[in-house]
Amino acid sequence: MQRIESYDDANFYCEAVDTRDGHDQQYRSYLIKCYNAVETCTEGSSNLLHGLGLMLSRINEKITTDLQVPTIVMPHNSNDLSSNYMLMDDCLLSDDSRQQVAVRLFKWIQGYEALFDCLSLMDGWLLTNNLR
Amino acid sequence: MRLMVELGTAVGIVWRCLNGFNHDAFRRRHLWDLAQFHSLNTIQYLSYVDDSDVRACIQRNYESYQQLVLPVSNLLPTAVIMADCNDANVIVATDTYQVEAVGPLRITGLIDFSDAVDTWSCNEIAITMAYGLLSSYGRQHRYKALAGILVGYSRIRRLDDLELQCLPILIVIRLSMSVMIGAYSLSKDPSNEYLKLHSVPAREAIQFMCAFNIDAHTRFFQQIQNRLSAPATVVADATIDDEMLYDDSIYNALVNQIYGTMLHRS
Repeated sequence: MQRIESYDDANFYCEAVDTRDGHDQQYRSYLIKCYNAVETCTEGSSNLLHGLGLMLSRINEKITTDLQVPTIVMPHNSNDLSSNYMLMDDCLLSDDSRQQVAVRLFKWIQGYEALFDCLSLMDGWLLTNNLR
Repeated sequence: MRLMVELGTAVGIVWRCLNGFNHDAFRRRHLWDLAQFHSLNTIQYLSYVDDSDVRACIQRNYESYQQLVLPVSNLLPTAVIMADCNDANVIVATDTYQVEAVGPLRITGLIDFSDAVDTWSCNEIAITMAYGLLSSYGRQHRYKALAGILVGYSRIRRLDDLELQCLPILIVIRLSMSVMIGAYSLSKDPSNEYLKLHSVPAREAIQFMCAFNIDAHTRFFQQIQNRLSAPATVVADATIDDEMLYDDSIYNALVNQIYGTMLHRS
């Protein structure tokens, strides 16, 4: 897991290697956004997340070029935007302490249908160190 | 240069997609909103900037912001904008997703919309141009970085005269925020190298912008937009095609025309 800076949320552009279907080169790119779990649960950020979800949906609906922006993914077909994160224990913070953080998933490569199947494989994800 | 034009185009595309979009969550107080800079405790933050020349530039630009931007702020168009188009939030790739892909780099995505805010529309391009100055290209080619981003953006959304007048000030406001907030945060966490990522080169960019008066920058931006941005724009009786957008001689001529005497003086 990449180091998480404690002063801010951070974007993690990562690659997930999925070898379940036997294709070694079958890897996908995702954007993972890590929030401080406490911040994620506040009422204010919930409303902002709702607005953000609509904003990104609007861009994705209207866009006519190949420029990509993230899409907030609903877990289990839920419409509850505040629930699309999973908690991860023991994430390393910049002060070398460890903390539980909420990991929010954005679908990055369009059309990949098995994103949430990968959640169960989280430990097996290869999080490459390519955050620029 | 091509990436700079593409970057401007990318944020222009986002603006076009969000045209008419609104949500009450984005009408919020936000530390990094250029329209709320006067709410920032400038004096306190400025005290953390140790370079007196940079402090003076920030102070002068803040006075321009108060005198020239705030009085006309009600006339500036507004929109929900991404508000954080810096190099860490732009995905650049080749045309393919192969591990060792070759070929020209293209801008394929924008990420991190968590600073989105309902504010002056022109803040989006001001922020993008400010960070463009901090990019590896922008550090070497100041004018062309600014011009390329503006060309890309204004081919989709033309800035009005008032926005063009405010644009140089707003660019420096964003750079000032980066320097001031970065200096403040660094004072609290001296070992945090990430905090220097933008704030250190931003100091040089501020000094570059402040070496010329606001009117010169505005004229440069007007010329860029008028001569290169509009579809079917005509320069010297020749229709602009895309390749001409990357012709150095056009930008060099404009730089000499607008900044020439000042360049020689400096």
